[in-house]
Amino acid sequence: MMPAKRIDKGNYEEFFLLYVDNELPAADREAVDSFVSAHPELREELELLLETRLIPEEQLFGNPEVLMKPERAARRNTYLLLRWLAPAAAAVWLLFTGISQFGGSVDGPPLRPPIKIASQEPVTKPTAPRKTDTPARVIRIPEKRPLAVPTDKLSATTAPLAVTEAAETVEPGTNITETVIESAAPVLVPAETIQTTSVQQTAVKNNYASEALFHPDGDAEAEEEQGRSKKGFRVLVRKATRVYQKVVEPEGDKPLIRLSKADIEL
Amino acid sequence: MTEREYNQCVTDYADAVYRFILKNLRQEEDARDIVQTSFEKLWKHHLQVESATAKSYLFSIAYHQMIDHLRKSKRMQLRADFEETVRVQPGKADNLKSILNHALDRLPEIQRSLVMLKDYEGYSYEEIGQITGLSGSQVKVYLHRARLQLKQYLVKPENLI
Repeated sequence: MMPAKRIDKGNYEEFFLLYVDNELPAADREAVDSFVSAHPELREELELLLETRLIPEEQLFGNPEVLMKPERAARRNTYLLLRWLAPAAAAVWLLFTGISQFGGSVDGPPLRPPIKIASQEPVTKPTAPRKTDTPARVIRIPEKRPLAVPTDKLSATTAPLAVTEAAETVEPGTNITETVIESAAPVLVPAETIQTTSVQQTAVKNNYASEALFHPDGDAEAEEEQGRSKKGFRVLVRKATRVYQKVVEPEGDKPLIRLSKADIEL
Repeated sequence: MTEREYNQCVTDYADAVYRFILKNLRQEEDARDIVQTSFEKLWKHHLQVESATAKSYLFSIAYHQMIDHLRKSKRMQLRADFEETVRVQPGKADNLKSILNHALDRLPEIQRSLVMLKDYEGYSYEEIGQITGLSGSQVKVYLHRARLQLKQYLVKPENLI
């Protein structure tokens, strides 16, 4: 706080008090020091006023931690830990449970017992099923049903499925009177696990191929479905062509709306 | 002010506020209660209080809490004059600090608070005015009056024996 005037014998007390309270600017402090030097009889008065200043004492509250509050970062960390720990634990649990229950294996796809084609030749007497640990599933194809896929196409169509030596045993046009497929369970089998059938001439390495080949109704349904889709596609193309022709070659003077590059007839 | 800054205020100012209140009340339990209440109020409004002004805000709360406490206990001296009639003989205390403490005890509450805020905390007149609700000029007048009364107490020979 600035004094109104310069220090003199009439106002020195105010300057001294401001000096004690440390409210004087540096220039005025120096002025006070010079004034005291010039008037030593007033030095004692200034020193007495300086002695009225309190000396800070060490008085401790003691336990300031009782006044403190938990910080948000700590609370957020705890919250995030609880928020993410449970789902993470659940995910790990599901992962291991899923692997163990659904037969996941690092080395290969889930395994199923191999399906064994017992016979492809006309059977005069039923082939005795092999003794296996699990009951065999026998699929009987009706007699004199032609092979759904000609064997000459078989090698081509099922090439990725690795049908080997099928052409040697199933001649084109050959009717299979009865085929017995032995299977332990209706599950998928990788090609490597298929074993040689009891009929030595036939070795089908993929169960999907064999089931597709010998399933009595599967081909008909597939053909029907394919026919429907083809018919639907043809209808769609026909409609699209008609719309295109109307747009590109409008008839008469019908009003058109120009949308981008095509004119749409109203 | 964040929680971290609030806790830093506790670390930095809890002892200072406690000393300020204790020197006025001279009762530890009451001083602790007021300090706790002051920090609770600071915490309640910590989002609105800037960190730079937290100390003044805290002292202001504590000061007014203390005044309320003194009024309730009817120990508040409303007159701002120095009590020369009641004088405690310090005996043979040659310790200037002890004499000064006795002189400080003779000051009215407001003047004593102003002297402590000035000497302990180093606040300016304006800052003390903001804390206590007085104007800067009032603070200056009260403080100068207190200094002169303390000086008079120190120079009296009966107080120095």
